[in-house]
Amino acid sequence: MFENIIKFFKNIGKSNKEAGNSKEAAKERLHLVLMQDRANVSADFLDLMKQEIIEVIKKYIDVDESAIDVRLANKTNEDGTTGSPALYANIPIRNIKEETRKMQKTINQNEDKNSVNEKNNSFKEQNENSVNSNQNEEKKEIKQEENFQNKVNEVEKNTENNMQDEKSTDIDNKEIEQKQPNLETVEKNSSI
Amino acid sequence: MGEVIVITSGKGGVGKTTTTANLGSSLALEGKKVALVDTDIGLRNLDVVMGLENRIVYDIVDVVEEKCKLRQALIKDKRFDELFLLPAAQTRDKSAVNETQMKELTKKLKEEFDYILIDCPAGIEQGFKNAIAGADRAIVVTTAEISAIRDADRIIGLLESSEIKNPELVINRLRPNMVKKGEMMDVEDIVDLLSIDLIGVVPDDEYIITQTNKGEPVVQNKKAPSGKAYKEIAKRILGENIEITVPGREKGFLAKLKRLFIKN
Repeated sequence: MFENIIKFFKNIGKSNKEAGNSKEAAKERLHLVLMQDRANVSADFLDLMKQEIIEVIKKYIDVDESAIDVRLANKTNEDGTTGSPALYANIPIRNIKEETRKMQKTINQNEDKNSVNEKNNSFKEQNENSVNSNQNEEKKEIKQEENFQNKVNEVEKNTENNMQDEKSTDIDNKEIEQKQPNLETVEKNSSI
Repeated sequence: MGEVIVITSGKGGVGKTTTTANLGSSLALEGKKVALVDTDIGLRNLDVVMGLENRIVYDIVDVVEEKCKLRQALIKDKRFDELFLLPAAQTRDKSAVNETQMKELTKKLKEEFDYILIDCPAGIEQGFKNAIAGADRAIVVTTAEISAIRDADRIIGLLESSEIKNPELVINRLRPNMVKKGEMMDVEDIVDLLSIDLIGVVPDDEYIITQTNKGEPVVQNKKAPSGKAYKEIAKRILGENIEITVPGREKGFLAKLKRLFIKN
């Protein structure tokens, strides 16, 4: 009799736990399934993102554009089942740009100068002028990156609207074209 | 100039036809002139749900093929003077109508009616494309089941890539007792996953079955909680800003406060 009562209470606890799991299980499974579905559906968004990625990378390295492979694939879990989607990008590099190396040098120099400044305050004013000119170049670069960041955000927003809005993609493409000359001028500046 | 609202879901059997019939009746109750259009050609059912199956002479395919005038094919409802049904053809298939023809048809209906509700077939093929072709607005119906939510998400994607923006969500057949036990996904969970605006929640109740058996919309039965939910949704369609009743959850400030404490 007493055992039966204990069993009864144990069962109540169990059934509640199992029930709680069923809702959570549904939520988790749906979350994964929806991510996979959404990633597979919008091929346009992948094309646009690929274009954006190439534009950014081209600033720093010489790449073989025709050989770039960007795609969404599902990760494979340890037990062989398909897991969350992942972005794979295979970008063959032709050459590291000369400007990139120069940029690296100037950044290093700036760091050296800054450390010297901390020690010798008397040299500060003289050095600042040269540092400023270098910093301007860096700022330009940063701005350019910010632009791209904004555009990446735009792309994300667009993908939420599922990316079929032809008008907005047209505008985006135009923006990319307009940015191209800007990019080149910055590169020229930095090489000077 | 009227508004065309398509009622769609992706998955079959979640209650598109019932929702169309009841929202149409509710809007007619509100004094609007309403046309219900069944686009599920080959599998028509809106006529039986409305109890108008004996009055069909012409159907949507006859109208499109100009075998009759639009006015001849529209069936007047038994209960409401301002409610009409344009039935689907039963002996043809979805290819009998195309998107341009649907656009023309809805354009004509808009001139005469305040609201045109389109009952969309299940699936994402031609029937779906036809149904959404002339629509200004979309209501996506889902239940709390995984399969229905997944299909709803797909449909939302397709709607947003078409000309219809901001579809609204109806969660149908919610079982408050199961939600309380954690055995069914909550309203918040579903809205979170689908990330679209909720326009109403309809509880699962037996009145839907008994009323449909008789060919009467559930809004006719004053005792039915589902009927009340549909009336509420109709008011929200008309632009009234009223709080959404979630079945099994008390309304008002005190109830909200209580929920807040229980959650924490």
